[in-house]
Amino acid sequence: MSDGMKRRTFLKVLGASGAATATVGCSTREVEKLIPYAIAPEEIVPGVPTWYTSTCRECPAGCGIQVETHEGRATKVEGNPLHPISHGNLCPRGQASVQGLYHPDRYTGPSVMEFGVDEARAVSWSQAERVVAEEIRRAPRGSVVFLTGEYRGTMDTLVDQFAAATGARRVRYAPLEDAPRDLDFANADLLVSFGADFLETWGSPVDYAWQFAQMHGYRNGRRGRFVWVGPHRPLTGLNSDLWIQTRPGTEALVAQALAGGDVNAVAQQTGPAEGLQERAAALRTLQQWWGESAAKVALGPGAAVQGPNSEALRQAVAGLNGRSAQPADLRPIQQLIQQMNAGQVKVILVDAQNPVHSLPGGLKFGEALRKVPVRVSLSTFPDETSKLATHVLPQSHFLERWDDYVPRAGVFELVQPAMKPVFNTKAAGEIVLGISAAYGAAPTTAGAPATTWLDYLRAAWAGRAGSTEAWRGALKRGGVYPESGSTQAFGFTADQTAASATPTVTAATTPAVTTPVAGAAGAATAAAAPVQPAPAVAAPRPAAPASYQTPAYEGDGLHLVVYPSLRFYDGRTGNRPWLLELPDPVAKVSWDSFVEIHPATAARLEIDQGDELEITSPHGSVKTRAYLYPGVMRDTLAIQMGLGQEGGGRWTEGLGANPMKLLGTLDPATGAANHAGVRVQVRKTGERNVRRAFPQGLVETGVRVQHDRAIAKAIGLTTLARLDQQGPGLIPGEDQHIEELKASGGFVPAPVQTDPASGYPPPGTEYGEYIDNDTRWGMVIDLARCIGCGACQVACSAENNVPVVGPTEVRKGREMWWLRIERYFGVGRHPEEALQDNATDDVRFLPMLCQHCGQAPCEPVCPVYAAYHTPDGLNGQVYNRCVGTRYCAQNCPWKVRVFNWFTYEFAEPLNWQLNPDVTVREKGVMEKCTFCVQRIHEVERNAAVEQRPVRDGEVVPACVQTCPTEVFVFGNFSDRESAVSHAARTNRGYRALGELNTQPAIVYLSKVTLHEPRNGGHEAAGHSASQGAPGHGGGEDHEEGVPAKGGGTESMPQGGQSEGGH
Amino acid sequence: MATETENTVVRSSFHPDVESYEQVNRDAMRLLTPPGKGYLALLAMSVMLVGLLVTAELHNIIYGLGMIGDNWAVMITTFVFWVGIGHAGTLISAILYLFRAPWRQAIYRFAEAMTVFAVLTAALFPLLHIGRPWFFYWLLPLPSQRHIWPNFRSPLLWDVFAVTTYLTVSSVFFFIGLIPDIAAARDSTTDPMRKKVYGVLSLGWRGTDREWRHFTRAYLFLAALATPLVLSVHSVVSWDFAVSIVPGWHTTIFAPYFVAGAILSGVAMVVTLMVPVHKIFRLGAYFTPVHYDRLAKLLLLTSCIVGYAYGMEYFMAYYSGELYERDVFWDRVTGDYWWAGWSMITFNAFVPQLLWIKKIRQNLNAFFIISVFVNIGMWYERFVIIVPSLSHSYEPWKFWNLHMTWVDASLLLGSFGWFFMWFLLFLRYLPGLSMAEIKEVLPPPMKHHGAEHHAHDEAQMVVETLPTGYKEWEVR
Repeated sequence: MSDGMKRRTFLKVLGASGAATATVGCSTREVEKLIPYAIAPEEIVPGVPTWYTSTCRECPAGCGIQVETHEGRATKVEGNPLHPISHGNLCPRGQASVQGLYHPDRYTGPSVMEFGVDEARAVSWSQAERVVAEEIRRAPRGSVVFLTGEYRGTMDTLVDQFAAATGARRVRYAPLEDAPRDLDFANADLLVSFGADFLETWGSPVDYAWQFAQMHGYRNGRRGRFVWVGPHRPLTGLNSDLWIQTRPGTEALVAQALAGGDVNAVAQQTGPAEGLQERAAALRTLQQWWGESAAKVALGPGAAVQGPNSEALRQAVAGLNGRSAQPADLRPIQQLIQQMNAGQVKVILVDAQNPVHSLPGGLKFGEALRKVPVRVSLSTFPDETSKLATHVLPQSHFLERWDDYVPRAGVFELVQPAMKPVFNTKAAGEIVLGISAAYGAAPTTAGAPATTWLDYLRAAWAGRAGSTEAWRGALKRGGVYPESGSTQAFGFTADQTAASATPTVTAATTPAVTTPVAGAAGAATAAAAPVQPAPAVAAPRPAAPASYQTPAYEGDGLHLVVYPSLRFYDGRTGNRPWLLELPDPVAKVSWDSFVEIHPATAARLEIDQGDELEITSPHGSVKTRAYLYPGVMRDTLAIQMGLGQEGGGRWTEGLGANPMKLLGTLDPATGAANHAGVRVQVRKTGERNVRRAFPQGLVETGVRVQHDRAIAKAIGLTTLARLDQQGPGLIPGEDQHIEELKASGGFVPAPVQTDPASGYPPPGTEYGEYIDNDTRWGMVIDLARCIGCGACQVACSAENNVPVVGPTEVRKGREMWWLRIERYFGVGRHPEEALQDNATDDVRFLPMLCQHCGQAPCEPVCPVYAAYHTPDGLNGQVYNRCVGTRYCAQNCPWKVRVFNWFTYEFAEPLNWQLNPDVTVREKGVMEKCTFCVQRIHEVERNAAVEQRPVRDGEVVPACVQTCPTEVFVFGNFSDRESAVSHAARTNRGYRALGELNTQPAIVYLSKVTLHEPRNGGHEAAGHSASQGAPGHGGGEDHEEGVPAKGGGTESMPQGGQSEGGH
Repeated sequence: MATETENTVVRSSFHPDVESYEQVNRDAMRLLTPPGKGYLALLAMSVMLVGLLVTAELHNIIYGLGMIGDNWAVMITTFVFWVGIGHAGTLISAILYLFRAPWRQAIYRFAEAMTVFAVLTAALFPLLHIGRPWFFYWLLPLPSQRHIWPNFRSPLLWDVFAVTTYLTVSSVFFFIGLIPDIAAARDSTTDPMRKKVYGVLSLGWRGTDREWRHFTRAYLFLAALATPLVLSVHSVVSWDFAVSIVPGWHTTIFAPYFVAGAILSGVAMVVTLMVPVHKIFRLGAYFTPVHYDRLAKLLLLTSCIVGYAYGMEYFMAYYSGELYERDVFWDRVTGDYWWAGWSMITFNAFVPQLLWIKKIRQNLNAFFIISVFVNIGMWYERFVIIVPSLSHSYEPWKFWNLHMTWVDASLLLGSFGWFFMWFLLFLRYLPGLSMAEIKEVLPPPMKHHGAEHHAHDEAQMVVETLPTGYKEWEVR
């Protein structure tokens, strides 16, 4: 036999190796599954979103929402248009709730830390529940505490049952005040707020913002007035017409003197000697307004003025109004802390609260908590409290669980899961049921032990929606409630219809106060105890009338105000990248906290913008950066709550400062945290790096004033009324321009005649060079209604997959917002003007997005046709074609084009949120607002299928959809009868930088001010509340809003309304 | 000054110290001898800077363009700077050729090499500055299945055409002019490798009458072809800015202003390069006071034009009454970039005025320093046009400031490395002196007295234009 390979062997080897190659070749290739379902679930059509109705639980307001899901993944949250609270709108926090759902730092499942071991061990749910039940059983009776929030729903019953069965004690914790959520001031003509930031956190911000826009926006020649009382101006205060400056703790005096009283005495007591006359004058104006107003509402007190005399203020407001907010009583918590310190608590269960962060640091909750041997956290996210927990039983996000909520009388809401839990989490109700079952005392529904949380919930709803049909109906609508009375009526239609009905301060709707039933151990069935709406005003206190006392402060130095913010509430939404990147509506600072300090005080202490300050109170100290802001009293500092989280995940860790550390004691009268009752010492740490602190342009080039550019315009009420008498106004642009020429006796161009042979120029070319004149998409933005909250920004990011760039890039001015809210202090020439005392009296918020010019400067300069014009008037951008020369961005006067400097990451599973209808862009590509072209096309497709034209108002871009104050109107300008055309036909209309003749598709409507706005800061005297009595407005020669004036001064390119008159 | 020695050697008025045709060949070939350590060190430094450029650009490609500081600032500034540099070369080699200015002969080769390398450097930046440089070919009108032509309305596309045309024409012009000299190098070199390479590059040049006739014709045509580019290229580059609506850019003065600025910067760069080469290679016989004097006058003229343009810009900004325009111009000299604005005005409009003074004009070192100042000033000119205008345009909310990063700095430094790498290679490997053309201004070696007299007359004619004070000039 030869040693050579036989033919047979050769063939064997050949066959084997061939097969191996083939196998290996196949198996290493990733097989792409293009069809997601073998058997498609009902309801789901790939590519078509499914909507679920639910309730937003980011704050106690309880807005009705609709959740858009694509193939089983929630991608966007929008307001439920039927809902009486949200009116179909949503705030930035609500919009960002999907980022809470997909937050990459969420707890992925239950974990248990065994005694003496530092590492938490992942366990199964049944194990975790059994362990907790075992600990409860082992603990001596009375030593088990369940720390919960205000549930206002079936959870109350369940937890009470649980508590009764296990002998646990329930302690309620809500960090912020309990404000009435059913006020109706949409038709009021005077609103006075005592520190109640009802546009941000107080009561029901989305509803109240909507009502505020109704009463404060311009309609039919009138608009209501709004007065802010407090030591500083947060966003709500910045929207006021008059600011009554009060030293913290003295607001009650103003409330008491509202109807009459010695203003000089009040002025003396409410502030320093400096500026006394101005404060007295402002108070006189307030008294006058209060006297002459038929429909007036007082709101308060708010968290920002919570402290000394809170009770006096509460009673004063209640006396004015019939209603007031109840500051959060933390005395039970204080008691709990004492018990924990005394070792009387063996087991504590903490629901999704974060008291270590949000309680005053001086209470030392964290230290007390450590003394409890078994600490169970039901938190969704890692936070300061859950980090101290020995057992973490993470509950589901509200978008993935069942729940219910009763925000106010008559409104019963359902929380419906929009998708399966992202991680191995359970609803809080389910967890409680699980622990109860393991404990051996399962709560019962209708006599039978509840098996699931959903069963329990349905049983609780038996009285309201018992039948399957009724239940399904309730689910569809998101609950049982009276429909939004005013539905989606725009302010513009209200412009025409007189709205002079007397407002109703609906005080009568408060139900009989019923403390939630503390069900006897398992006896009371849930079904028998239907959910009672928690009272909007907490249980009546012993009616000892609190009299005003000279406030006593802790510590000495400057006064400190700690206030909740629009973006982070008490800190619970402080880990959402969108909200971190969203500039603070007032300071326009993102990714950091800051301390508001008056420029004069800063100058006295030699503090510069961005200097790091160490602020020390008797209870602790924090370090944060100075933000020079004239909207805070000279002897006061103000810091937002929410940041400075320790353990809040990758974005929040080490970011900003937590001012709650500076607080310690509680107000004896109300038991509330002393938000405004501490005085602090300020010291410069010497570290100063403006670039690290704030977005660069904000600080270095002083963008707070308009440099005379009049991009955000305002018009005085008197001038506007005069103009309105002359006629309804024209759509800015061509029509108006011709009228102006006529008025000045100038050349009147002949109307454009279309040549029938060539068809050129096409009719409607006044809006630029586009072929099809059937459609010219455009937008009207009413600055009189814009409160600057930024909900549109977040909604835009959610809809269009706009990435978050992070602090470093933001500071280089590379934020990717397709839409931004510009905040100017008047027109102004020099940045320093924004630091003057009266600067905050003329604040203009302006949503700036792509103007979709008819003659767009960005289009011709693109060498590759990535920027191009669509036949329906859109300024298109083809991402795939873009090579990134950035010339379009240079040539855009509004600077609304944003460039992908990097390929920005959407950390898993945040990428689940991406809208599949919109391309995700890569590095090197320019992008910008498209008027949500995907939504336009969806509507157009549907219309084409139904063989009908697109209806007016059918296309709703994301910003328009969410705006709580309905600032935007979107539609077709070619249709002269469309809502957008009607809205633009006004004496307030103008186009931003219209004199460049790029024919923008966006018409802005000037903000309406009570007095003629100062022009460009040339007038020393303003209508400042702090500087003098309102009424003697800016010089008459320079008033804005008078057309054909030719501009008051040489440096004003255009005088207010005289659009295109350049 | 032309002198007649006892043995009746006739000397050129331009190159009185060049005695014969042989000397020209000898000196030109001297440049091509194997390089020394100093040269190698310089070359190594340049290559290292190119390495820096490559590293920086790789960062841009891998991580994204965000590695640079802000926007157009550094890259486009440097692009316009280098395009501008190129212009003096073409001016000297083509326009002065057509005008029969005999003083160009000695320096045009250097100037032209500078042009080619400057354009080569400039051409990098439009590619590097785009967000997705791997798709740069989308800017070219290539027939493809995408059926998309580039947008001919875009000034950036005009740029692409202007720069590629300029690169093509100037390198062809450069190369054609080199042919007879490369042939001479081929004939004189002993290195077999060089002989082979020069042999290929000389395209078989033998120096016959016919070849010379064709050569001169071709050179004339190419000169005619290159001449309009001096005006057109930088005009087109200026339209990158002028056709936009950015305040401070949207100006009709930009085209002539840019061309004058380009020649100013180009001449300054010629001087900046010439003086060291002069000193290191002892080329005093070729780079004579006439050349420096003429260059100084050209510099002075263009500096005055540029100074006028600055003034006119400010006047128009004021006179237009345009708020945005006024603000931008005011911001240029008082805003965040006041230092750049004043550097530009001082270095470009004021410092060259020193050249009115003869002593300064004739002092090599002083002239060199002035030329360096002008170079810096011209970089700042582009910087001032780009950065403050963009950072201070219409929308106050988007006012921003530049933050340079190491990538920006690397790209800027790397561009100099890239330019000097080519220039150094050119110095040692291609004839830097145009032997053929220098011989044109030398009196030819003649046997007959009459012919000699004729040459003498021609030389005398030129003598009159010589600057006085030549005697004091240090030749070597």
